[in-house]
Amino acid sequence: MTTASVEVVGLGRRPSRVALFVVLAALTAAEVALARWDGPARLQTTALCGLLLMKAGLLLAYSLRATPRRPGPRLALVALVTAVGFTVVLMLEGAYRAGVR
Amino acid sequence: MWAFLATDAMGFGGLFVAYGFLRTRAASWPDPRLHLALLPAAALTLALLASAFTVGEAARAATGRGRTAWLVATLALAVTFAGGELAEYHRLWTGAAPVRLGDLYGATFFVITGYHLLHVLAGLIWLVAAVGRAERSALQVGALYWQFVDVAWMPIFTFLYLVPAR
Repeated sequence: MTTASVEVVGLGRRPSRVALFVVLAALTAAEVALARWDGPARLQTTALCGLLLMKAGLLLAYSLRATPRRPGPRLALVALVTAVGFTVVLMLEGAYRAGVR
Repeated sequence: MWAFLATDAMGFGGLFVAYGFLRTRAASWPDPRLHLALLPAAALTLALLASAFTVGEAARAATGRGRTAWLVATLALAVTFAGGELAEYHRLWTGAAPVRLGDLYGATFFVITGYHLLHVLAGLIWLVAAVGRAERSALQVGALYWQFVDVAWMPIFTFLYLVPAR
């Protein structure tokens, strides 16, 4: 397989991509189960944010066909992850401030 | 397309920051589980995830027939998602305890999900136009946009539907 064809295929063959979406579905099910759990709210929120980042990361890696050789996707990935990261940090900080107010 | 997606991501980011600020500053915030249908929303999330896969397969398909088949599957999933969202709006609007744009909770919910739904509708228009005649390079750009719309839904589902108000 040539370098070009490796880049087009991205994350690999179709079965591995199907497996990726099975994992995403399982993570979604875990999110729903966690949301229905009546545990400590901060723990719940943090765990949900963790699952969110995992899902977003997997989906971005799939959609951007993330390979280190492609600078365009790499730069966009940095911008997108930075936006998500800032959002999550600001929300957690806001929740913390509201909690100690 | 990369520049557009990066700026659009900042747009969604701004909405999420505003939502977080308003939610944490509000004197009280209703539990999402009281108003929103969690399992149907999870099903819509799965439909959107599946559409990210089908549009990716369309962009990878070697033949025109394969591209069309995957695009039609994507279109069906996208229509399912948009229809589900509109049904959710109708249920919220006409339910026993209606959620309206006039209160803070309703305003943030409808603005954020509505902004996303506009992106979905734009994607639907592209999908309808692309079925049967898309060239591979154009399809890859469109698929990237659609997958961005999918990624943008993930934090909406988490923060608006799942994070409890306690």
